[in-house]
Amino acid sequence: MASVRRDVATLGKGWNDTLLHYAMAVRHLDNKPISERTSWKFLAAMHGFHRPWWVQANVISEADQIPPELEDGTYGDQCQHGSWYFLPWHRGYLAAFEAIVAATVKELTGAEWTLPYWNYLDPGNPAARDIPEPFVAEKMPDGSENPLRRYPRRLTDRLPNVSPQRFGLGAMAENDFLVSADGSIGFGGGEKPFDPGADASGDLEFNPHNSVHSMLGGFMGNPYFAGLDPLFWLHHCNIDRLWEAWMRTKGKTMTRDPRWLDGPTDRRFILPSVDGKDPGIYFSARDTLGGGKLHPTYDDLNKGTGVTPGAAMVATVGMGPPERQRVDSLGSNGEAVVLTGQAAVTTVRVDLAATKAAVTSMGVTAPGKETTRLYLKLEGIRGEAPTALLDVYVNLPVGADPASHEGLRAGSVDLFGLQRASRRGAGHGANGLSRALDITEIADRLRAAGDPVGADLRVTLVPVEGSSSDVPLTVDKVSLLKRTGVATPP
Amino acid sequence: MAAVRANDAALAGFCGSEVASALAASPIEALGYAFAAYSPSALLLDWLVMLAAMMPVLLAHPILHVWRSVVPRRRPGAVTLFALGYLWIWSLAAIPLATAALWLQLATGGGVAVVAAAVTVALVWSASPWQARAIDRGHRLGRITSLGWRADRDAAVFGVEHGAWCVCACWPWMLVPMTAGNWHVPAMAVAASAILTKRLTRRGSPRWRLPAPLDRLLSSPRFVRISEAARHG
Repeated sequence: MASVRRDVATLGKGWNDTLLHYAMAVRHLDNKPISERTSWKFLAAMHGFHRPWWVQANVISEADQIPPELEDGTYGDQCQHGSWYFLPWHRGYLAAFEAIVAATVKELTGAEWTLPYWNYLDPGNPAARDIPEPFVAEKMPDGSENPLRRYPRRLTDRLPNVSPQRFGLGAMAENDFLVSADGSIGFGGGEKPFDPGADASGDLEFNPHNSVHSMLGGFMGNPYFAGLDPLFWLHHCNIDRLWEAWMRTKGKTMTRDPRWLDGPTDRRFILPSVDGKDPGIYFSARDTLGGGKLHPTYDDLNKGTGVTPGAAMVATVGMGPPERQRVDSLGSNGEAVVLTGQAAVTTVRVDLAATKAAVTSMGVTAPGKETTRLYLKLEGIRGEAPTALLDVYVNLPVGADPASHEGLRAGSVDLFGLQRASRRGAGHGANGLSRALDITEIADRLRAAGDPVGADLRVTLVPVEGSSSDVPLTVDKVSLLKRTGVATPP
Repeated sequence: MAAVRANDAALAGFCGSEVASALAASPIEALGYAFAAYSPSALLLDWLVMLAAMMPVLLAHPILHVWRSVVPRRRPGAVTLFALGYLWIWSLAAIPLATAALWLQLATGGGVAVVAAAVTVALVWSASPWQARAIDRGHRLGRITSLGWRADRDAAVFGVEHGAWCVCACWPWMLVPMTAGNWHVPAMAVAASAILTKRLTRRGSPRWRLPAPLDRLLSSPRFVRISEAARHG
């Protein structure tokens, strides 16, 4: 792929050529019927499609002819979430989209076009979190309706300044793409077959991917509609860039599992070609890596990525080859927690001896020595809202205001795709979402402060969004995990 | 496996016997005779042997879930309780399934036609949205507490629940080896392959689809490449 993807902030203020041409292409593609594979709606439906909901949201009408390939398990509803295919599938999706838009721009204007990325976490750009102006402008420069803001969004100006635990680059500190096969721990997601709503998201998928979807809200907050928002593609382009930057940083271990490289084994990913004709473009994760037909090129992998490709990261001690690391449960709570808009406290009972041993070797950095990290895992998170937000605290004093105990916050869990992952009859067992939060630093602070770490944990779940008495949020299980490895130098 | 073959041979012999022919006009009486003639415990043992031969690969994922869910020292116990729950529900299912298999053989005298009918029913079931719903429910991973008596209880309950959805999804395929007489073992291999293929085949919303073995063949990368090449020269 010869074209180079650039930071949208560097392309010029306002209606620069790239965004002007993008808007023209969006309008052109959105005027095509969904029955055409290169139409805007068809491309969006590849990410998520449920006909009754699209009709209800007036995206399509009852009379629209839906091509069978959107509902027969080939092109439609293909996006991979909660899985180790999340990153490669979206990379392929971006490539097909970029090729179709570029061909449309060429046809309409004669110009070349490359998908830009939204570098919202660039610390060197004070306006990085601003939604690029053309996506919020009322009109196009010629006074016509602006197709870049046609579909609804909750935010209309900028992404808020919130805790890095909700929106930041902490994921880039994780050294391994996959540690626990079930997806409990790792950068890229757990082993899964083809599944649009699996429960094993990696760190990058949760934050910043889910965070941006949820914060923008509207169609972006729902995987069945997200691809309709033109901003979706710039967001995913940045997520893709973060993956590329992570892979090129020393000390990071990508999976080389052939089931990932050549999978999924149960079906193949398919993309529309530029002309929309058969046979389409089949691909596997291998095609998205360096040298593959879907591998992209970025102008910069340093700014706003939290890593420096080529250099080693020292934020987190290496724990040795992922296949030699172990993940064991140390204990869990006794029953599911149902959240109806109010905070709830649950006690995680632990194996005292094993937990004390884990705490002892926690934070060991001497090369060759056993080292452990502790994780709080929330599993089987189910709900009816398209997305939800949950803050999680450890050993919060009884009756204390969570907001005044930031140091005890284990993390914020943005549950983009909650409804999809909880939906019965979708082929994935409705297992909901799961998230493991690294609480090693909190445990270390508690230990230093004399808190009896190694005893039972009191976990406070604070639902910020997406739960009420009418729409409850259920957390099936809260458990404490121990990750064990051998400390390795960076 | 030898016990299974011996019992099947005996059953096949009975089904082809003059007694069975005489009783064929009244299959209900024949069933009573057959169950009186063959020990329930032997039939149960055969059934468990058949399950043990066919199901382990299918159970890898739920067993891993149990293994990972509990603290290391409770793992062997939790997995054992899961297996017991799973086998218990399948043992209950054996009663109607074995009855149906016997009745079919007695009513028809056995033979290729019965096996063909069983395979047809199994293929139709595999193509149906009902089986897809059962499989979808079977993918549900039950909550398993990590410590204490709840860990044991949850593992056993998960075994029963998983087994129940497994029975719903697979029951017609179990009829195939049970009606195959002397061809029991090859039929068992065919049924196990069909069930495994379904497990490895694309998931999706429940609707009528091609039966799993055919769907799997047509969607395999090799077949797709061949069909692409054929279509585009």
